[in-house]
Amino acid sequence: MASTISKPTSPLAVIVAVIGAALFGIVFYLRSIEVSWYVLLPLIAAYLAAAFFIFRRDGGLGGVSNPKDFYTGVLLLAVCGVFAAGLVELPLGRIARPGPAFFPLMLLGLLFIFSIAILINGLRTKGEALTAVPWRGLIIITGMTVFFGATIKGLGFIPAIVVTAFVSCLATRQWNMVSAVSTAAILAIFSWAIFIWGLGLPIALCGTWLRTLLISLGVAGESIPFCY
Amino acid sequence: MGFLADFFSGMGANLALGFSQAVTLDNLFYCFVGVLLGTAIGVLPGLGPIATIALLLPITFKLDPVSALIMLSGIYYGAQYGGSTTAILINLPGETSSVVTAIDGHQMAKKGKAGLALFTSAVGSFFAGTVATFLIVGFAPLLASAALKFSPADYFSLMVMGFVAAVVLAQGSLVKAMAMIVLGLLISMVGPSESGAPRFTFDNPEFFDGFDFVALSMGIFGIGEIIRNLEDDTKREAIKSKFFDLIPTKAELKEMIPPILRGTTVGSVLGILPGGGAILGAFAAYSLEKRLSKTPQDFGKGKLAGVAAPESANNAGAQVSFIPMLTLGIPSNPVMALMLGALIIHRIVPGPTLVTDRPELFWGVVSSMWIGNFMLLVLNLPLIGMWVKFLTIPYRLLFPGIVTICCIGVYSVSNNPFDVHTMAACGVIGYVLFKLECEPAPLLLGFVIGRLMEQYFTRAMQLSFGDATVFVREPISASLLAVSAIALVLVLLPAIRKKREEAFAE
Repeated sequence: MASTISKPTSPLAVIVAVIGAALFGIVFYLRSIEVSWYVLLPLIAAYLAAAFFIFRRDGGLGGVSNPKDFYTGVLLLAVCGVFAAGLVELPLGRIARPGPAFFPLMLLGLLFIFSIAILINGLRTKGEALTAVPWRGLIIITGMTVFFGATIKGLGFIPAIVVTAFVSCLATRQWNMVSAVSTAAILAIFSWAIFIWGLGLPIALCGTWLRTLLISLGVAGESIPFCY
Repeated sequence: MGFLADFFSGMGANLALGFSQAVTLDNLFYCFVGVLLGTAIGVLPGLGPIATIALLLPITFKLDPVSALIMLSGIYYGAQYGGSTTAILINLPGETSSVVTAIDGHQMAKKGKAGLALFTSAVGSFFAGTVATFLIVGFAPLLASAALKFSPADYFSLMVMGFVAAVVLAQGSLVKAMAMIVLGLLISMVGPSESGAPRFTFDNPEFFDGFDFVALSMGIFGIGEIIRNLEDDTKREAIKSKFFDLIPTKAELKEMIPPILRGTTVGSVLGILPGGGAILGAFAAYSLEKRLSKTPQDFGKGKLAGVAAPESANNAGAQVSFIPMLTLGIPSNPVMALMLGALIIHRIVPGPTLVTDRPELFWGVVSSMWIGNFMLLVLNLPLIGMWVKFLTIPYRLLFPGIVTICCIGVYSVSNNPFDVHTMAACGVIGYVLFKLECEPAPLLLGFVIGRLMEQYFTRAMQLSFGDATVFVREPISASLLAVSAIALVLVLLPAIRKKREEAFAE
């Protein structure tokens, strides 16, 4: 990850990165006008192949002198592309009667100018290199948040919390089994006490999947306590 | 003289109405719980006031608006105070405004004067809070009645000025801060447009309602913070010394009074400015004390005035920034943006008519601010020992709980799993922004104001039949824009730019 400012920036690599950002928006646009993935996927593949080739030949973006600004610029350009793709179909209206696209178009113009300015800043000023990313924590924490959203209806309150809390504990290397299990248990009880018992949130303690499973296994009848 | 008499009797009647609202047993209880929870969560390392408020927001959903607001302001003060405690005891400021407190506060703690530092902070905050409450009582109605005459163009320009102020006072790169505001504005455009037609939804039904504000702020400031804190897997040590030297000596009391007075003044004046609020006040008060002091070389080595002044300024500024939020509906900093979001969830739209339409609400909140401050003082001085225990909880036990409570909190807003997924995505975005040194706070500000700003823009254009010069033709709007332009130009001037960087580097 860490880049050393020894090699000069390759202009071609910079152009490839900017085109990549633009392509992001273009793909969004083409999808919105129902161009099929059969056309889009080869397009993306072709770009990736070309980018890979150029990055390898030119040593990637390692020579960018202010990577924090440069990547901000590239990412914002990609965001511009996505919003531009969403803007195309909207009616602009007139200045006396601005349509739904009018104000966003102004914002988009501003953001585009800022992105370019930040991007150029990234190439011209000197800045610190990016530091390492805690991938383990990032993936586990984000993953468990997604997991919670995906299973809260199906598994229900208690199982979703127990799993989320337990796996979240693994996000740091300093974890151990005892504290992870007890954290999960304490959190389940604590959350139940505050959110269900105290605040009366209407969330099923055990969700639809579990309910169906228990009924089909014949473990329980139609009415299981806390399952609704 | 007649005017003054009217002014004060009006003030008295308003306060009486407010206290009759706030001083019910129910509301006192909610205020108490808010302060208690706010401090408990705010004191946890790695959780600043924004994250604390976002985290505790859902527990106010079931209350009626007045009680909810009272509890929220309790949470707010608790969170602020908790942040100062963390800054003093383990030198880990949860937000920019307590950065200044940490400089001398932590040095005091190292010298075994942690109790005195915490006492000074509590008393300074309480005094500043009391003064600021009176300022709100005096000025909010005046501002509100002036704001009634504002045209849509004026409002638009006012928001522009708020943004400029936020950009000028933000740390780091100006262009990046501006880009973040515009990004926030653009993200707020996702969802139904004013005509009801979906915008930027890419035919995904989940996007039809736009993004949830709570999910966005909890993602960026809750989940994003956790990922960021996981970068540093080492253990943090809290100060282990006796905390029971709370009561200051007479000499120490004498030493802390002038800085508290000066800090309160500086904080109140600067707090009115949109965008600045607490942060600028704390910085300014600290450098003022340093300049006035006979022993400026002692600053940074545990000087009492170095805690008293910025803490008072911080609290005065934080509280005074309620004025533009409640009377104009324009939040001046991210915390106020969060409070505005919370109000809107309770179907209260702050604005100039709030004072006249819902006086019980407005004055109830104002008086509960004072009650909240008072409770903070009563609660925290005896409980400092307990808060210190909270500090010693290792982070590895803490963050699974934060993740879980964030998930439940966001889900409970509208029982929509998509909100939880928005939060996950915003967590990653928040972390990426931190990595790239982009301040996420302006983004949140833009997101909250976006739709309102578009409405005012559209209305201004319709009223002027498409004449864009309306923004510079109307006097209020023109002067607001002029102020913003001057502020921007000043900051861009090389000399001042250098000074600003130095100020933030300190």
